Amino acid sequence: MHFASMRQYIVVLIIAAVVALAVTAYLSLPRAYLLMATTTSTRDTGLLPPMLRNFTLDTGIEVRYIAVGTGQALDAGRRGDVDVVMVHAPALEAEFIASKDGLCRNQIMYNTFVIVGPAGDSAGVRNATSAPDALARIYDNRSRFESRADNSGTNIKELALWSAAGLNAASFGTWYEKTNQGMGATLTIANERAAYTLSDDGTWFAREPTLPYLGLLYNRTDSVLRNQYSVIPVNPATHPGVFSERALAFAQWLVGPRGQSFIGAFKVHGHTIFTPDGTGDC
Amino acid sequence: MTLAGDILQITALSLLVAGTSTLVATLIAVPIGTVLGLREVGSARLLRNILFTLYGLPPVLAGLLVFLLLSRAGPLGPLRLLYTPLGMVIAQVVIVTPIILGITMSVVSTVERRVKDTAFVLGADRYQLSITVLREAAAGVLTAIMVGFGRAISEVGAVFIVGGHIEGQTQVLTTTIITDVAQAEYGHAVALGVILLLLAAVIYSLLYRIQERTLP
Repeated sequence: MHFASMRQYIVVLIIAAVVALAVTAYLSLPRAYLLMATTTSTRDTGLLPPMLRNFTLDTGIEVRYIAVGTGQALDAGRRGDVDVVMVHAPALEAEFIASKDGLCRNQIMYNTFVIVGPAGDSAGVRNATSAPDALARIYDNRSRFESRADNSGTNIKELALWSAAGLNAASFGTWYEKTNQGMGATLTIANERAAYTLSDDGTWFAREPTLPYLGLLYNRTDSVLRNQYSVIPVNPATHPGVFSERALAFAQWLVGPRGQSFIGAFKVHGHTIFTPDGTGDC
Repeated sequence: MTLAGDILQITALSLLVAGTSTLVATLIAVPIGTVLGLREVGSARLLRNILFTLYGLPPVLAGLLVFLLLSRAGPLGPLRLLYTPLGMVIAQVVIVTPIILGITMSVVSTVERRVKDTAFVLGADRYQLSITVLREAAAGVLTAIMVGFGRAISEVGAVFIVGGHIEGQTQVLTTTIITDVAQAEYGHAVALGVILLLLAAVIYSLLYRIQERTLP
């Protein structure tokens, strides 16, 4: 290689870098779409893509989302990184509103938490009289249990159920495994490791065909197992620059007739997954 | 979105992000690596040690740092680069630059020992020496760039944290394989994995050709 061709290589390299950067920068221009942080369970049921498409058709507002645990979703709102959050952990939501990070709260729908586990059910969860009783049986039998341990709405409910059974999850032995992952990933792990876990019924029904070693063991609709989803626009007074009006329009559409009828009609593998119960102060 | 359109878009973004990061990192790392490689040991030793530490920087840690930097609550928040392709490029430049720099430095200092005396005997000055050395080291530098690109396109932690894996915006091949597995979409995940492998094969064979041509 000669000096001249060396210089050519360098020029080509610089031009390529500039072009590539320009394209990347163009794709990174300030976004015009509404950005939502939501939970893995709404993604894993498959509800989001068709619902957001309908919202965009009705209003012309484009929505995109990141799917994380409820704790992380609320934190994205607390940092002002997203415009709106859609989560399911009422106690954390109240804190989010109280700290002025959330503008207002519309509850939109609920589904039910269920306990799934190995079809053999050695702990006898099928015969449990209540959800805490079911967990107590798993504890007594020291059956393997997968905890999401990710500060998600499901994880928070799971910890509350252990407490209700008079047990402290922090003291559990090696049978109590922490996946630190979303609902879908945790179900996969439970299936492979013949373990029990707490799931929302929506994700369970969406994933059931791919989980041959797991069965639905406890699915009574006790009020304690109700899994309430809500939408909260991020407060523009605390986080200037968020798309507040569009976020409010989204929150209102979800509890309006179009959003509620879509949610009620949404089916996965023949199961209705969410019960619409839209109301709120947005 | 159709399945094929979705795969095409994800693949294109993967290439764009990894390619841009590698190009930018090359422009930063090759000149600095050459200068440091030519330096006698001593003043540059501390700098070299720092660079070699960064060489082993876990990508996910780079992702965390860039996330905290770019988040709106962070120091570079006003730029609004979190969850954008440019943000992902920044994270990957942080990961790839030390790799290219480290390899370039090693290659250059090896070549330098070999050609320095000859070059000075022939009356070369410092600048001419660096150009001569870089020319002799070209094959090695190309290897450095290849390794850097390989790291960028196969990296998952940093682009997940900084990109957010937003559908149609910041999904790349590696992050989509992760979420596909979480949703038991194994077929889709395997398809993306095959594309990743093919991309690596095509790009490496291209670079290998260039490398063969530039060998002295």
